[in-house]
Amino acid sequence: MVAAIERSGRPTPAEFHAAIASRSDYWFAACLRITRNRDLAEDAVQEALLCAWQKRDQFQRTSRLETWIHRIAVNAALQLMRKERPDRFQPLPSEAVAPAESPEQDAWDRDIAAVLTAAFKYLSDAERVCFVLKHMEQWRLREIADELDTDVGAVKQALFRAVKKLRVKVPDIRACES
Amino acid sequence: MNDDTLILYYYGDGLSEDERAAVECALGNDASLRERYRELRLSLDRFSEPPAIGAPAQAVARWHRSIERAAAQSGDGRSSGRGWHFPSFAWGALAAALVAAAGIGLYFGEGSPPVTTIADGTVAPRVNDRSPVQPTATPVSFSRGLQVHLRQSRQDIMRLAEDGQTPRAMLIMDIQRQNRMFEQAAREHGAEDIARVLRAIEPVLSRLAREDLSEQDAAALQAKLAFELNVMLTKMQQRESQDTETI
Repeated sequence: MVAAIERSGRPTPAEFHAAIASRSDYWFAACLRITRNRDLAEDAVQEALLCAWQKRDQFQRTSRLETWIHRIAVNAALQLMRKERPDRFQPLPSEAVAPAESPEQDAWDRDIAAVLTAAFKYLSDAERVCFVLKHMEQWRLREIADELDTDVGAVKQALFRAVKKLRVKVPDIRACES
Repeated sequence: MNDDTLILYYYGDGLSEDERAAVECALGNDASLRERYRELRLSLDRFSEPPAIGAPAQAVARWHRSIERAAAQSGDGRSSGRGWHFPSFAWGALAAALVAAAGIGLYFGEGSPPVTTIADGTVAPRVNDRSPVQPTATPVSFSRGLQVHLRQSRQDIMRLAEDGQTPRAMLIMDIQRQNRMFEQAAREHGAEDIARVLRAIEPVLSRLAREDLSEQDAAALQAKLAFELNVMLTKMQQRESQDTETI
């Protein structure tokens, strides 16, 4: 009897709905940190869900469905960003300044309210994504390098710059807010 | 020793064993380095604050719909009626319905008695109206997920009688699995009251698994659940309307 249930290893629609109900806020937040764009983040989650559904036969019951979808969503967010601008993860020179923000982007930053997320605007795409994947998503440096099609040294440099900028900027933002 | 090395040491990635040992040795011998590392660690720990961002309601609804559509297209939906999957999904839906009906019913109920009798006499604790976790405090994704289950389950329950092939005990196991899933989701959203109700449902499910449950009793329970489901779905939707009007 138990074997009959376990034989059907692929997740059911009900499990997908439950996963959305319990974890979609986290998937969305992760995608938003990477893309800094609500539409892209929503699309990334949507694509991740459909991808996970199509590949549900590959899902291993040893891990949690929510975790599996989270990882797919992060990958989808990265792919969507790359599709928008293929060269966006090219490492910038160490002293490069992040591109100026559009009024729409500034408004988005105000909505977010989270100090750290606001500080992300001072980072380049490569710095932000390396930091998010390493610090928030706990990827290995090698995994990040493979995903961004670069080498570990470049990822390290982007991470160092991100941490350096954030350590300077976060106290400034907090001072302004208080 | 520069900060870059300390950053890699903090993440436990990107340093060889020898390099890690060297950092540890230096930290043990150098008080100023220890202080620098302490400040770095505090900064990085602070960067781990989760942002207070919820997924937009319409996006959550879209994600649910996309799974519904994908399931329908692949014939893997709960209402497909295909092989033994159908009753499994249907009973899974029943579990979700049972869970949602009891949870939401108690959650949104007004003027209910201090305890609530579920289905066949099992007593569940009543949700405290003064609970700090109010319905509007639960994420949209959570309530939306429950609503999807309610709607699907209402359809599935009406079809349960069409299938009598699958052993009931196996179906109940599936129900209990779904039950625990929703209980976990409730706990993760701080809706401990709902989680408590879900736990109280386990004995009801066990009774349903009994071999000596007559067809009439099963049918009566099925009809009762379908009715409760309708009531709870309506209450939930009414509650949402009230919240919208208030806003």
